[in-house]
Amino acid sequence: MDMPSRRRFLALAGGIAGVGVLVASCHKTPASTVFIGSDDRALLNYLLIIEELQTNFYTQASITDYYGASQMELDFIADMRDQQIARKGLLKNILGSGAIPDIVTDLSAVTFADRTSTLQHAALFEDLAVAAYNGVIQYFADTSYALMVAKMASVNGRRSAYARDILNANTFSDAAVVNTNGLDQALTPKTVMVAIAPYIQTTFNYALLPA
Amino acid sequence: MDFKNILQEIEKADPEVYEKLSGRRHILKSFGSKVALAALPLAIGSMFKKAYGKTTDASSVIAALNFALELEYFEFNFYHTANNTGGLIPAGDQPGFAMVEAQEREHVNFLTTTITALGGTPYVPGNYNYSTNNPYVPTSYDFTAGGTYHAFESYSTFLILAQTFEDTGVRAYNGQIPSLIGNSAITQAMQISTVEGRHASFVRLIRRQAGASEQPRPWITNNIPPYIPLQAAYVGEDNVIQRGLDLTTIVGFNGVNVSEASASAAFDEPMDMATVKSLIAPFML
Repeated sequence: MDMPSRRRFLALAGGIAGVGVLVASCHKTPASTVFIGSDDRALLNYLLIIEELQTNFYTQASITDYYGASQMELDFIADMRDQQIARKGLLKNILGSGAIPDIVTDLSAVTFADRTSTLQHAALFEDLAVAAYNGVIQYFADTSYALMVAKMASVNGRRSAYARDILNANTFSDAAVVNTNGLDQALTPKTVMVAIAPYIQTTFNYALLPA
Repeated sequence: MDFKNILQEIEKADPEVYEKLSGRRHILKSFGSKVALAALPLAIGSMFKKAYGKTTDASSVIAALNFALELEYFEFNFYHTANNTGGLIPAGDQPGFAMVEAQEREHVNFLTTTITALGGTPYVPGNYNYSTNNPYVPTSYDFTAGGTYHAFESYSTFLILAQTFEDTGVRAYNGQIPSLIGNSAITQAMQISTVEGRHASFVRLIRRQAGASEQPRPWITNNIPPYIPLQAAYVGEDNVIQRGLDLTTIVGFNGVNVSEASASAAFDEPMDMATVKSLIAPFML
């Protein structure tokens, strides 16, 4: 194992400083619980929380890239970061004044310098996003959101498969995520909120999510 | 740190999670043994549909699912042939393609059961033999498209077709989503579509690592096909406008706007049934 280079150390320090900035910015948001709304607004804010978690994750991963990343892997991390920025921007645009303030994530469980830790968390978040989107599509009152959700979910499937496969070949759709009917996971919104809670400092009132 | 562990953690925090997901224990009794287990979520969904009166045209749901079934037979036959062609797939990729084939077969079975449970007649390929019930029907397909493609002689050609079929499959499922609104089959269609997305990603990564000239990524950037004559499968994939918002106007990392490549890759665009059928027609007998 190589000693960390000075450049590497500075990059990591920069990343940590970046986290500090994110944490500092949280003082602007109320310390109290954030109410995500009801009906479609709650569902769209729920999607926004998932997208923002991943946006912050890939942004940090692209700033403090893991040891041993090939150029292809660096490019793909940057790709996923930028896809997330686009999705977060879209959801904020749809929600307008109904969007919750920027969330504060807690990604301390991720060792961004470590390839395995980073890619495992990428796969974990993507698998949860797949399950979330598959599980939420039935609930929208404005059914035109269903197509938007579908168009995003299959991309999450692609991204999970990449993270899984680059770590362990031929695991892109294995039994950890796909059942014996050949179906991916589908989870209810409240189930996903519990699953992602360890990675988010902001506390939410999501009582009016459908299930 | 895998998905099952997370589910176990959720189960600890919320012991009723599986009840909430499907309500199986409560509802199982009322169905008795008439409904196959695979179709149970759908049967439950249709019960809720009655209860809450959401509108769905049953015939359009069945038509959408039968179209999906047609594509799953197509893909299963493609991979079954490839996996049984000695020397085609390198040893390192064989487990992956065996998994893809198995899951396409599971999709065939699941959709057949589901369509039957909904009162429809499941699609079968033209030369299907009901007495054997074998989904492998080689006389219904010509994956060389009349000799145009060396589908099972050249690994790179096989991968080009696999990528195109998987990407098209994802677009086809997304295209059917509007027909499934209000029916619980929409969730199952999603659960299949994301698996097709996983398959597409697997094939794309193999091609990327093998040095494919267009340097594919696991996601579809712009409307780049794996092979120019297959461009038709990628028409419209370069869309960067979602719900009226041009995503390339969003300011991204380091103050740089989101690129067209990333804006287009973040969404898999739908494709209508007629277009998908026209794309696979050259490979069907």
